[in-house]
Amino acid sequence: MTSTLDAQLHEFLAAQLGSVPKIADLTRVGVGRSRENWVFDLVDPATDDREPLILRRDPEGGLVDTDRGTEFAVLRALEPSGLPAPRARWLDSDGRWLGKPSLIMRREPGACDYRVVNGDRPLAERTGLARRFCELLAEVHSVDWRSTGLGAVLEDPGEQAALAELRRWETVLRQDQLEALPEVDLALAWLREHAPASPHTVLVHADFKPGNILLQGDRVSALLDWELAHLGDPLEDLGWVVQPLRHREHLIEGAWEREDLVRHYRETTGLDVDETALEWWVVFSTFKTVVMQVSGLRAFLDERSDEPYRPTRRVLLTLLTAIAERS
Amino acid sequence: MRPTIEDQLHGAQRLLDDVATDPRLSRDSHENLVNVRRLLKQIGRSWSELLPFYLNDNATMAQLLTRHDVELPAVAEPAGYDVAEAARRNAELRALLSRVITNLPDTPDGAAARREITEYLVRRIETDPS
Repeated sequence: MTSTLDAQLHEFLAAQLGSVPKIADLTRVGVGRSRENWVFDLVDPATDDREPLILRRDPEGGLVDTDRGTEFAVLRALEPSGLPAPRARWLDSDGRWLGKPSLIMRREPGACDYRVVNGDRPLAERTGLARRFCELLAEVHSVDWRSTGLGAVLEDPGEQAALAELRRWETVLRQDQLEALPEVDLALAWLREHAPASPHTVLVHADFKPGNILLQGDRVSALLDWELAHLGDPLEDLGWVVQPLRHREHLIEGAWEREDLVRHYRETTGLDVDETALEWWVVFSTFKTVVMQVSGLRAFLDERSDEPYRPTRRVLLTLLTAIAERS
Repeated sequence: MRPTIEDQLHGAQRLLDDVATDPRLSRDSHENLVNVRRLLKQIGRSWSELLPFYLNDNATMAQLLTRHDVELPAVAEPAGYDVAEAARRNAELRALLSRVITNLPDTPDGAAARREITEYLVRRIETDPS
């Protein structure tokens, strides 16, 4: 497989660069059919300087199907923003060159640790990182999406952001569900009935978590995985971050609680946080997690993925409990 | 009669444990092996409880649906030990329940029905062995 891709990549880059490229150390990172990330260096033949790059190829099946072209355009638009987003280099939008739709980005330095906030570092350092992550989220939301051209790539749902996202994920659900899921239909009914109006439109990352943040020591070097990014309600990301299923990724018991995070977010952004609306986005986040699991199960049973996902007891119970408490 | 299902599942786990120690195993294969062992473990935990779970859940759900004026399909509840048929019936009843949920009115009665169904579904998730 490596030799096929190596040849495809040479041909693709030759067409982009107008000269024969020198590619070094092409290696697949991650395993299974669900993830297709390849790292390599592009070597300057004159100076031997190396540009570290990563190639992301569309999987045959995964948790969510996303559009590489949109992700590429978002990354390009973010370049002047100052956000630590990876620099997009080339796009093979229809897979004509590389076999599947693919995106080549600059490989940023640093390492991901999705448990860092509750990991082995001293408490003060962990709290500092949790606070920094909150500020990074605020930076995403403060991107001037109109002046950066993101408005030409992404649709502004306006005050209907909640219903728009609900429709988007219900479409994914209906496409991938293999059987009736009354638990999810109950959640959908509640979400439809209680959807809040969105007072602001911002750039939403939509999968903001330490697992998508590269760190060099205690410095953030990159925020990754922009494939789900869209315009919408800032509380969507905040709800994703404070939802019970992910609290150990973002919160530290007794030191950095939900109230601390929300207060710091409010102070940093200057945005109001409507607690009732935030609760809706928390429930929506759990619903979205169930849909991702349903899609993952479908991909596994269709033999497009090797990860045996399924809607789990924990996630379904969290969803129903949340609805019961708010009904 | 031996080997029982447990014997066979235990044997499969043991053989896979043995494969897992092979240093020539690729990362891809190792990850697949982890997933296979996880699936087998889950089957081992749940298979013997599935039939009683489905039979009980089908009866409970049929009562719930009847209270909501749903006419149940004229298929006899499996009387024997056919777990596949019990699972098929369960999926059929769950589809009817989804339809009930979708059509509940936004009235106090509808809200009460949603609460009743939520309580039932929470209990179901807590007892589902699969």
